[in-house]
Amino acid sequence: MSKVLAVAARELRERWLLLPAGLVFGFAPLVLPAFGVDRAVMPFVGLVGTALLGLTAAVVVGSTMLARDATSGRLGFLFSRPLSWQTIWGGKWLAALLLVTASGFLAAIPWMAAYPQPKGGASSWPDALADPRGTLFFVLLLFLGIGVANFNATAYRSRSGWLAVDFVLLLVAAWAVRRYLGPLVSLGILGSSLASTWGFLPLLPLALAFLAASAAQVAVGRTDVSRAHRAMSITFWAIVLGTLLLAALRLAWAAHASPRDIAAHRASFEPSGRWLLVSGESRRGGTAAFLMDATDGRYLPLGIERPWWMVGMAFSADGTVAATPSIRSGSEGWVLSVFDLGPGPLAGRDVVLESSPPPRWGSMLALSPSGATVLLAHETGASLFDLATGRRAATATTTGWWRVCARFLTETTVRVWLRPTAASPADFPGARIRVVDLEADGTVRTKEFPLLVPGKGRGEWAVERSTVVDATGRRVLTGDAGWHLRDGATGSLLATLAESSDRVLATIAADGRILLAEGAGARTTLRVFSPDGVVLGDSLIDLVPAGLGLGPEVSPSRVAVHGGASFADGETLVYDLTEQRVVEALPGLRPIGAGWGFESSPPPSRATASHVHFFVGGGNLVRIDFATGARRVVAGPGAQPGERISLR
Amino acid sequence: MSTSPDAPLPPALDVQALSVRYGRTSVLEDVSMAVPRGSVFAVLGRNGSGKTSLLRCVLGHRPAAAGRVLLFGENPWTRRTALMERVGVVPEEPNAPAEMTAEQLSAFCGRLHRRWDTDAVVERARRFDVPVDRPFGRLSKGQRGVVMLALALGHAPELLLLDDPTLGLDVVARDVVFREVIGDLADRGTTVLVTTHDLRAIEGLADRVAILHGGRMALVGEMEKVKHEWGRPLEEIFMAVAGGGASAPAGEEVRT
Repeated sequence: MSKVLAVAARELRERWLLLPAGLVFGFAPLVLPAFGVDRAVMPFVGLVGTALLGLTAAVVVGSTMLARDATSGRLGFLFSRPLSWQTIWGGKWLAALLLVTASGFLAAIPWMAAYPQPKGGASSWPDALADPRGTLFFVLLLFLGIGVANFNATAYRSRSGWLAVDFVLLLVAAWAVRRYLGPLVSLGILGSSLASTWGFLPLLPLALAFLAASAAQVAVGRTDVSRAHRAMSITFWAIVLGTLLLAALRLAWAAHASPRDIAAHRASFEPSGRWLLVSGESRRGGTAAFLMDATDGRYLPLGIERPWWMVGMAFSADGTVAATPSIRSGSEGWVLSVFDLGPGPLAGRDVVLESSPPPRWGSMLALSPSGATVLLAHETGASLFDLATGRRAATATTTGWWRVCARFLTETTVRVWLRPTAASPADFPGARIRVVDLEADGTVRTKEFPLLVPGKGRGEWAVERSTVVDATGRRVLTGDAGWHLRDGATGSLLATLAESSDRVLATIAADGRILLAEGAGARTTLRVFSPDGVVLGDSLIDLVPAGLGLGPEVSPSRVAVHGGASFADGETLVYDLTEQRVVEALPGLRPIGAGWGFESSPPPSRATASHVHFFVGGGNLVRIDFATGARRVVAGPGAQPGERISLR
Repeated sequence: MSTSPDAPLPPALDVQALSVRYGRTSVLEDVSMAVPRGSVFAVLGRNGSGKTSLLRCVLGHRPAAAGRVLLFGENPWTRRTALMERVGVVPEEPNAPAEMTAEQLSAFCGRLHRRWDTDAVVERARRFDVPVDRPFGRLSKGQRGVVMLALALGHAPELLLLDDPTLGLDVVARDVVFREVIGDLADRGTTVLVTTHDLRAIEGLADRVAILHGGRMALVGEMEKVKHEWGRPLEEIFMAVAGGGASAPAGEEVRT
């Protein structure tokens, strides 16, 4: 150790001028106000000055400690003494770290003393220094600064053919970082908390690579700078590319998750309950999504990039077509990945939608019953496209921020109900609903009707939840100062079902009857109304006392009522509207939703009312056929392994 | 490598079929020589003949591409750290840290070697009128060479490697180096391996000589034997072997 210190001391002696230089930098923010510079910016000036000084010191020290000493023969002086390469390397790195740190601190101390920041403040230096993340980040930067300077200086001074190799491998590494490491961090595959609070950790292997490369440079290259460059490059790129290879393997492992690996959080499906989009947290990291055949477990991975996340997947009511944004969607607009779910192997194609704004949160996608047309709604309007060609058939524009709260599609027409959301401009004169009719021949009709009051929870999800359309599209329930049955086209008030919409949920069955749920736990009241809004009866049910939910209609006239603070402690009761009683209990299960603002399935109709629905419980996604009572775990650890398929 | 107590000591330096390459360029090819303990061995050669590369291999600064180098019976590439306690080096280009004085350099080296005689180092430098309190980088080239020589001898090495030690020295200093230092060391049993262009000075000191030419060993043997066989002074032999000026004696066996 004494020899390491001796070598370090010699290095410090050679470069001691960096220390007073640091101090001079540190006094600059104290002097500048005398020249009229605003004192308020001095901490920033000091910070920049410290960073510049630290960077300069790292470059000076890093570029001279090995590369220059090798070419000038100074390393030969040390190598002709009884010094191991570890001693020489360790002494030089120790001195470099001390010099850069000390000069940086000397540059920081004067202005930090002159412009103290309160401890605990947003940018408190004491806090930043005491924080392990800040300390680690600083140390990483230190090693990186010195390591990069040493690498560049060695490469420059050797001027060997390895310089070209370095350049090529740099391009390869940059591509691999973008392709493999970036998604690992941004998609949360390494852990969302890691990405948000330790997102700089991928720099760690880079710093280690520079450190190890310099060790190889000294151990193998010794006094020969060309040989040192070769040893340094081989070591550095072996570590960097090895790390990126590990990242690629990790990403591939995550991307090859199967439905058995996920804890399903969201699902949407076609009415027959065969095909569904299911997504959830993957045991392999991040979120995974699959288009899967729930009857036999076949699944198509939808990739780790997540355009589907924003709008989910739309299914046609006849179960033959599904569509979701393609990863090719971008600033140019929408590209739909369209899946043919008919008989035969799963087929897919991309359809470019004409003149469409890019997908984003708040966009809405829905298919006509046969999947011939597609509705795309966004913050500035709604458009109807022909799905075969992507050509726009009709469009309605809106100003301000409107959000689709209900829709009804036939083969040739679309009706959407829009409500202003919390993000609306303040000049909206009270709450209202806009009804937009789009027809395939390009006809567009728009009407507006007022609501009684804005109502509670004007957030985007609340808007969706407080408007329910019936199976014919002719009537809607609106949650505005109560629950009101209205004419779907004009907004005319047909009946008031409840005086308050606070903590009251409503749904309309396929036959038009209406069910309202209120309360919690053992005091949960269900009230059934006729399609005209006449009360048919009340029931009191005993449910898990938290997280009351209503729907879906799991089989004709039978509606799921569910509770539970989370999926883990959920409970579902199946309520029969005719018998006005609970006919089935599903302990430990809750219906899975498609996510806020998304539909689990196309709207029910008398023709397509489904008997199949999906529930989550115990970490599994369970498909229940209420006509036969058959259950099948389709995702989660309890699922049978399914075949991974690809598109035809 | 271990030797039994009764086994003869290996030579200070044993080079067998050594080849050194820089990339695809071969600078030494199949070079063999042995430096007995206590001898003064002169390696001669024109610029670029491979002398410095040979010394780098001997010092463990680079590995042999082929062949073998043994320093006191050990591989200098793998055992360099321990071997440098027994070896002193004066490189062709003085390479001590420029900001340190001779005194500071001696103190620094004293922290690196197990045994070190600071007084002897300073005294030796003073004998050559070198200001020991002046930074190394501000000394003349000759003075720097003297300081390097003093530093090379500070730990009383068993083997002294001199890479053209008199380059840049004036006539007096050069004479002192050869007559007093090398001669004195030889008298005390220190092995000296010296490369030089100063053929006349080394002729009377070295008891063995090798001439490198074009990266190959052109001649190696005992000095007196070589001169006797060739019947010429060393300078003419060198010209004949390395310069192409005269022919070798009839029936010459280069390795003697």
